[in-house]
Amino acid sequence: MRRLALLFIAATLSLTAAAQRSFDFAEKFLSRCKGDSTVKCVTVSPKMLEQMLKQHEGDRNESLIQAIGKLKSVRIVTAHEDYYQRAEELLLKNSRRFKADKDYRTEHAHGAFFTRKNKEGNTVELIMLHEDCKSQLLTIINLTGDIDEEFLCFLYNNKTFKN
Amino acid sequence: MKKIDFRTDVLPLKNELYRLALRITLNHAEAEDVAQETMIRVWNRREQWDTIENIEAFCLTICRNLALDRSKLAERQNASLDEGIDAADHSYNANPEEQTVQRDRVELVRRLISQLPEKQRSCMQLRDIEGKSYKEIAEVMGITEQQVKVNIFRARQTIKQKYSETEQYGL
Amino acid sequence: MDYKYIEQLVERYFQCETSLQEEQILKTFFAQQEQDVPQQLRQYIPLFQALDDSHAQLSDDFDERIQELTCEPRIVKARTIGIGERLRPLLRAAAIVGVVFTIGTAVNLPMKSEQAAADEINYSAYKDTYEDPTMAYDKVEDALQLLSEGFIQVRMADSLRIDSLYSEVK
Repeated sequence: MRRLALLFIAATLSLTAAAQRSFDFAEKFLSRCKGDSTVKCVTVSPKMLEQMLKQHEGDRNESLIQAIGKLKSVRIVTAHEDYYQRAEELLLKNSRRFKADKDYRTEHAHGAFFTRKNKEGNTVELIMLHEDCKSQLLTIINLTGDIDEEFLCFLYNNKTFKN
Repeated sequence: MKKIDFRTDVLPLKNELYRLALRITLNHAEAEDVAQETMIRVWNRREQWDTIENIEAFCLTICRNLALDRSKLAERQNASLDEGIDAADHSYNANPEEQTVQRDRVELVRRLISQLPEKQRSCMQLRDIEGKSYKEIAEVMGITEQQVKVNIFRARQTIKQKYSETEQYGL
Repeated sequence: MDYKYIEQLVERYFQCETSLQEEQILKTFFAQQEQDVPQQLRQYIPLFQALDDSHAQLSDDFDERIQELTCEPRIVKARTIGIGERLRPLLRAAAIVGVVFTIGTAVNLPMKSEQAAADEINYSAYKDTYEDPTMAYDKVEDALQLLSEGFIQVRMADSLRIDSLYSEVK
């Protein structure tokens, strides 16, 4: 009986300790899909983003580079479109952490945006779920960093995208 | 009709299923997943077992379809994202001319097989490696026996030709 | 050894006219040592040996995993329990919860000031997919492109909603 109580105490302490370290949504989603080799993730760390910016020193004024300058990490998860529901459910289950923003629908695709704000009310994480019905692919784009009006502006103004 | 038992009739097929999945996906991890998924699906349909004449062909059909789905998905994922660390097992796909032919001719033939179109690859796998009859292969592939024969004919001819070409010109 | 027979079989093999037994004969023949195979047939050794692919096997724990996933649910026998017996575990649980709650609250008080730290992501655990920043840049550009398109769609939908509202108001 006493052992049980001690176990519970230990569990509580370790939980509060774990809360110190946070994960982005992609990490959460991947841990749900552990061992599933059909779910792939591309990770771009803060260090890599820095290297990218260094490479494009001369293009510092380009909107895209400026947008990247505000990011801390980029993660791109791809899986079969069947996983869309699972991803959405995971976000909605954690509604205190991730707030649903707008969604959209086109002829062949649909998606939704989710954001996470920090204590100061700034958006520090942006998640986009995108399902393409033609290719049957789910893409999750998970950005962390300074996702403010300026960042969005850079995205809108960028005319130098590949296509 | 003999009653089908999972442990003695289905589980022993695991390596055959794995090899077929490997032939299609060209990736060990994917092939293992497919073999596992096939077993689970067959298990989930155990009410149907009494109506199945050839449980082996049944399993192979499911396996092939799963493997095809996986490689199509992987193709699309590769098209939008190059896989970095998680790259597909390219040991089945390397350009044969890049290898030291003298050292491993068998490896060369394996590579040539992996470069065949999927239907030819699968037919060859089921015939030459798993020793299935044309009738069984036709059932698994969902094509006629004649088409099976044509696929195997083309596969064998291609391998023979490409092999002798590479051998002749060295590299 | 009648090599003419084997030569004929090889001919027929490539014409897709051999039976399964004949194909097995060929596989067995070419599994021999090279010196035992006549010169004119040596070119076929790699081909038939490559077809002896039965070495590709699954690991042993595969069986265990499958057994786990496909085991029949065990039938649980029901039994009657007295009221006292039923309440005892609940009382125990209540006592434990009481202890945990008190300790938990005590632990949480100093935690509040570290809330900001809780928002911080542990980036050191991130493992880059690409070593080359050029490749990474390519993917990031793709991602931001997709994001932009999504935003545009949202905006378009919004403006349509506003337009329809206006037309309603009119």
